Amino acid sequence: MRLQPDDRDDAELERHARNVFQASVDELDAATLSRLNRSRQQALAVAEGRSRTGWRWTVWTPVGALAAGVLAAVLLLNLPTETGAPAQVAATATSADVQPGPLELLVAGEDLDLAAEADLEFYAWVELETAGYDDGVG
Amino acid sequence: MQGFASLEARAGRSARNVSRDRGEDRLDAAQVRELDRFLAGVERRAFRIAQCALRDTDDAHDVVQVAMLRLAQSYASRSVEEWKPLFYRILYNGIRDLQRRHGVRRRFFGWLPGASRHEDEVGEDPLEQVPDSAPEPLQQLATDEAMRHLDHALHRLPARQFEAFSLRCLEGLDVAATAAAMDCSEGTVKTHYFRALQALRAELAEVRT
Repeated sequence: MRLQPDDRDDAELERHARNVFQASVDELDAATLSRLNRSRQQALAVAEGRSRTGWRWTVWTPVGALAAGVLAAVLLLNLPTETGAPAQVAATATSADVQPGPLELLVAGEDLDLAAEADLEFYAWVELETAGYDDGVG
Repeated sequence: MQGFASLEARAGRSARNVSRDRGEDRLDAAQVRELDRFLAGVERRAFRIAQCALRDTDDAHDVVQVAMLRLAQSYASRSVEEWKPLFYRILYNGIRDLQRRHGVRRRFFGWLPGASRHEDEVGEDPLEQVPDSAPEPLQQLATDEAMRHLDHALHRLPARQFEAFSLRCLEGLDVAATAAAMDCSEGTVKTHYFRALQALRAELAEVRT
């Protein structure tokens, strides 16, 4: 196939443009090459970082879910009740083998009421027993 | 996206694509080395194309860097055959974006003194204007002069003609890959390329004779 004049011109133009462009690429200065190299290293670091992030995500997802579950369970068990005592303490306080301390007796108003009723019977009995006696004090 | 669909169909589904579909979207050391080789192979030409389109060295560095980062961040897991059209599509999008921003800036701030200064109009570094004492080789001079004319002629092309010519002729992409990079049909690529050749032939005729 014979090339037409325009085709020959186009081929010549393409060859000329390619040669000139390639020459200008080959003559890029050191500062430009260094800057391009830095940009490339940054891009590669992003690719590598993303790769590592992906690995961590897939591996640590179940571990994270398990840890979150354990944390939620601990928080639920230690959730304060209406009386201010932790739910775990309130649940176990009714068992006979656990003796409440003095602070808990002071804080728990119901326990103080029960103690007052028992004392009232005692004081009534003492009053009956001592009604006929003179203490001799004056 | 039709260009990439056809490119993928042509290249076939690579093992990397299959792994991507399985959710294994990560690069191993060999893939990172492959990406390094690819970027090292295109960075200089991409920079010169960007410099030619934008006529600003810093802007050219910026768009090349963004194209590299975007490719590494979002498309590195694609097949190697797709990298070049993808890279150049990102690059040309960046170039168009910067050109648009510069156009807006000129429109709104062009009346300010010094706002229309351009790198090729005013030398950015006075030291670069100091003549070198060493004699410059004639070959170097001829190359610089030829490149200056080509730069000028390319810069005067409409954006799509510039893209078609730089991808087809300077970068050596075939019509299908150029269409993928330009996100248009192959017929459109041929039209833009033909018109670019016509314009360049007229522009460079005087220089070459």
